[in-house]
Amino acid sequence: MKLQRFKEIALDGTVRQNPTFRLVLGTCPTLALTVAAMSCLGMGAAVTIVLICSNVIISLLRNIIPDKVRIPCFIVIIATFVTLIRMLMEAFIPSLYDSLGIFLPLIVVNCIILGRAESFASHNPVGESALDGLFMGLGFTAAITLMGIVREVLGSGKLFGLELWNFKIGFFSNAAGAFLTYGLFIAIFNVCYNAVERKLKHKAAQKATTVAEEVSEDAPALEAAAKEAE
Amino acid sequence: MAEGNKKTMNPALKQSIIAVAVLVVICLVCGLLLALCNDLLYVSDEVKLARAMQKIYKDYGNGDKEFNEANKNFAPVNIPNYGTITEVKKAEDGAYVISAKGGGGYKGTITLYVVVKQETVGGKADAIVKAWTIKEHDGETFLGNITSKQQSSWYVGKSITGYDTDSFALSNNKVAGTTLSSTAINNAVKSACVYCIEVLKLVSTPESEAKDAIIALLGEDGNGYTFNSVTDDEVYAQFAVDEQDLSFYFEGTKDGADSLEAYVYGEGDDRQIVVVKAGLTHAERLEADAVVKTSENATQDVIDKVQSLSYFEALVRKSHADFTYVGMAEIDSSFTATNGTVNKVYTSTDGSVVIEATGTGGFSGGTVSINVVIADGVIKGWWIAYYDASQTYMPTKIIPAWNTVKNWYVGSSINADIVLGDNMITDATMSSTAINNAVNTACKYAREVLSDKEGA
Repeated sequence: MKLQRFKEIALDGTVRQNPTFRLVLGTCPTLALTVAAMSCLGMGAAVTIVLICSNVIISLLRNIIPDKVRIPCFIVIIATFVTLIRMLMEAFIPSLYDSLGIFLPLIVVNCIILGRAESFASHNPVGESALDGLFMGLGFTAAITLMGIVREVLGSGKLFGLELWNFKIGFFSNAAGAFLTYGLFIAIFNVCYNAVERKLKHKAAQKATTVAEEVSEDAPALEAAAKEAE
Repeated sequence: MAEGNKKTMNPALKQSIIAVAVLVVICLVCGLLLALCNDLLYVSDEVKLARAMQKIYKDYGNGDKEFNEANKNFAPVNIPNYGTITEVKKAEDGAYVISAKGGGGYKGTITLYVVVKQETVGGKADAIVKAWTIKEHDGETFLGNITSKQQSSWYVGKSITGYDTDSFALSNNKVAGTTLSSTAINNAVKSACVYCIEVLKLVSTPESEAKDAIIALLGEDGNGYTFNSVTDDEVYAQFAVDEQDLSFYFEGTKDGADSLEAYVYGEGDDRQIVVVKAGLTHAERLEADAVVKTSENATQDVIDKVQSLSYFEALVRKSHADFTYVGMAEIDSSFTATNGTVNKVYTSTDGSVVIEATGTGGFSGGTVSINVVIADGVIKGWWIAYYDASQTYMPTKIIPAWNTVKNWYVGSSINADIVLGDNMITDATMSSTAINNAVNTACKYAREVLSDKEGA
């Protein structure tokens, strides 16, 4: 795989098509679990593993699964991996299993996973699909963990369970605070993203103009060289 | 015949078959994989329990393996009015871990692990609630409001003998906005307490000792009977004999057998017990064969008192002193009421009646059944007989306000329907409506069917 393609996939997953702040997918666990940063890390890790595994399998089977039954097949595959993750968590990380609660099995219907299966894994080779799953998962994890840090610090005065101070704004621990935090993060992220994109476009446009000017300056000399060659 | 007249499958059908086949194969493979992993990664109930105990009661260790193995196939035990015991385990230090399911929650039941340990308190053997935690629940949405703070303060450190006192009362152990879930937890804890007292016999209470004495007195005749205590101070007062008060009254029931009533006076070696057949008329009760068993020290005055007055009569006499039970009247099958039905009619020598009626229109479409005492065309008194499990506001709103509620309808004429009006508890409108409908149904029956009877 070319480096350019790798960069493209990486940037898409973490920034350009960030599932939380750009695509606004997986809102349910985002709003519910961002009360505590540690739960966000756990959920993010679970989603990332499921994304990678399901993308790989779906990509492997993309030429076998008929179009008519693709969605049921995708869901069966995703549900299998989610169940495996549940079993592993229950056996080896029971504290995380308890804290994620009902949101662990709800990963099956997380739009991020089905969305990437449908839009990427079913049309791309295995390697690229795996990378897409990885970076989408990392993007999701980073987004919800960032939100979780803010809500936990402001809402309960803790960071990853460690008490920082006694000051708490209860609003950030409840549903209204979740929506407000989410909205603010989406706004800030998109403002920054649009600003960076504009700057990059401006740079690219400037570069293109410079190249065009250089080409037009050199045009007579190039023409003469071409005639000589003829 | 044309050459090449081969039958070929319809392409659309072929595609469909392939699609289904692929889906089935994927499902089978995934299912096999999950089945294999389930065997490898299965977490047993013992491990889950040990994990749960590590959070609340570290002395559980790995549990008493012998006891836990012996009780592996525990048959659920129903604790009337409170809940069900689904499991009993023992910790390494001898404490009991009771899995108790309590009803009355927001969506259904809550199952707790309750840790109870025998201890010596003030030189006296006692059993204390050491810890509790939530095992599972029926989707109690507001359970998140009950945190570790409540889990370490509610019931913990309290003697199980106080399960029917203020220390275990719901009013002292609930979170605002989570009353129903608190109720289910309360019922589960009380179930565990009752189980520890009556079955495990970790500690005895005067009531449990009285019950044991009744069962011992009945011997084989008492096999299979379940005795439940009913307490009403005003009723008990009517059974006083020679300055000796009634200590306990129990109703004994058994599938396929006659019900019994057990009256207990005194305690310890002075305890006098009289067991009589239940459901007898006043006249039948006075017959010698009405008495099933008496303790050796039961005096003739006590026996005469119990024979001359049943608990039911004493209950009615709180409202109408002249009630003397003569029998149940046949229900008129042609009677209809819009919002209720009549179940039973108890008649008296003076023409008064007690009508058991069920009223519809309760919470979630459920019903409430009440008994109404009617004499001389007037309601003398009433009480709640039973209600559907769906009537979650009955134990949380109506019954706690009984001192006010019991005065509803008293003195009202039966000659017209009584409007809901002030006979209502805020936040329990539907339960109040069901009660109102039951009362009106009873009144309607009294005026339309029983109107020819004197006093009704």
